[in-house]
Amino acid sequence: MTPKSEKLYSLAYLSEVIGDDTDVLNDLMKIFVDNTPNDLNDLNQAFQAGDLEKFAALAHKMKSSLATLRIDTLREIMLSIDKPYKAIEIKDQLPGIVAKINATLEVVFKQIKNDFKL
Amino acid sequence: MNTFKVFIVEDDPFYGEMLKYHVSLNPDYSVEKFQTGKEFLNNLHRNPSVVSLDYSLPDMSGLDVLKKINAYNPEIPVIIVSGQEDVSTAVNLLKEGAYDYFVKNEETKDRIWNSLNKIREKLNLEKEIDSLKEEIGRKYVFGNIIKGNSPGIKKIFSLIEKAIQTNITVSITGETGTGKDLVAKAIHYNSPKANFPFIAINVSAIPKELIESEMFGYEKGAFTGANTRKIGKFEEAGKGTIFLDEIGEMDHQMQVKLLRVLQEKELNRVGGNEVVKVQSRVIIATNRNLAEEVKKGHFRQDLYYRLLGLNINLPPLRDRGNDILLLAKYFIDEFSKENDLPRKNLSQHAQEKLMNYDFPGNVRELKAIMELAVVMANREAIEDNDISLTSATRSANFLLDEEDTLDGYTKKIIKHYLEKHDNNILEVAKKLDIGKSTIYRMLKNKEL
Repeated sequence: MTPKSEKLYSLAYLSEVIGDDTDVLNDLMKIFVDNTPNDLNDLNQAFQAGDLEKFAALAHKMKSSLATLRIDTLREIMLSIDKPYKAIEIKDQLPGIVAKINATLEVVFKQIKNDFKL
Repeated sequence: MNTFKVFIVEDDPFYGEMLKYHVSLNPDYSVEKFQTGKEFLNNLHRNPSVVSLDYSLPDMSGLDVLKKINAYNPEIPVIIVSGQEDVSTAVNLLKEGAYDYFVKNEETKDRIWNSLNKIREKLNLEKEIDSLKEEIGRKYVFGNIIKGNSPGIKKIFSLIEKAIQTNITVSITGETGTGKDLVAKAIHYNSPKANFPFIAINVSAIPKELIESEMFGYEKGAFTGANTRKIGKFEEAGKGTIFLDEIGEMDHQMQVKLLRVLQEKELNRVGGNEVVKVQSRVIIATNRNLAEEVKKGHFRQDLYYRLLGLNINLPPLRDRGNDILLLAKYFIDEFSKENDLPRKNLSQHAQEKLMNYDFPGNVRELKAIMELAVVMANREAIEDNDISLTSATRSANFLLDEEDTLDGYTKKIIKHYLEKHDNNILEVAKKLDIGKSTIYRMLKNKEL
């Protein structure tokens, strides 16, 4: 379990892109916590159904947002599964990878909701 | 300035919103975001200035969307912003006409910003070029530029009309200062070639050892100092018009080379082997009598016939009757407007002085005379003493230039008056106090 104090995400890059407009930052973080769980849910379902094409497409879609929020623990993982052929190559490791994604994002969602009072 | 409309197509709502906000930081941009290919294509008719397109969309690939944009309007620049790091995908998209391609990473914000700025700069330049072309086109509507109502100038208008309808080579002849360059421009800017370049070369102004490289270009290393390849004026003209002014001054050796280029419709740059197609129309001008130059052996006969094409022989100003006054008034108005001076009239005496002058420098000389007259005039009207003429007046010149018989002088006088009064026979008969039937008879017998 990640220690409570360790932030799994960073706003460093996002702040470079949007500047110091806190309203925009709040809006963006709300969009992230509203939408990414749906993508994560779809990713889980695709994995359970063995649909690696859809699974890889969802990983591909999610990786840009996760990289923007500098969720570093998932950076390499998302890159390793963003194409069907890559996912097939490491098929045996996928259950562990999916669990890691779920666990990390669960913490990230909680941290963001808490930080931004969402 | 028109709104620069940026459409962002991005299926990730968070990433799309972030990009939208980032791009909107430029107050000149109006930004809209679409999450699917279909939603975007339904709005394509609203003609975005530029599209930022995610390669992987839920309902179709970026490549399909790109093709649809190109089919609708290939002028819309498309920037692909993709999570793909695959070089072959990027190459393929650029081949399909994408303006730029970059991978989503931490450089995205700067790259999209720079790319959009470059596109906007390019579009603004294109608009500027279009409006300048329009302006030039308007400027060279030949009725606006070649002023006159005399029968001689009306004939010129009719020949220009014929010249603009085809790509025939045009040779413009006439004394210095008659406006040969303006006729060349009027033909180009009113022809279907108007959107291509008009390139003028003054043959007499280029040293003979440089003219070949100037006209046909050269390759790197062709001669000492040729550090880079340079394209020549023919290539620069592309599908436009090349205007060879003062062609009569062309060196004999260069005439041979020009003839070959005109016959083959292709050229080699100096020091090169690459064959370059020549697609431009050729207009030439000279104040020499080229036929005479051919007789004297100064100008190649084969080149002469190749260049003759449609001949437009501009009349000297002294043969254009009342055009002298029309042009004088035009130059007064133009000069006064340019210099914020009150508009001045021409007194009767001043008009007579102009009408009796033979203008060896033609329209160019008249322009200079009138500009000086506007400066010199102290009153509302320009008087005859405000007009400084550089050579003797016509009354002294046109009769006494060469000895003639009394009959010859009579014909010269009648001809002169006819030109001066726009062939108005009744008026000329009245002025000279002779019977109008005398003039009719002389015209019928082709004595005038």
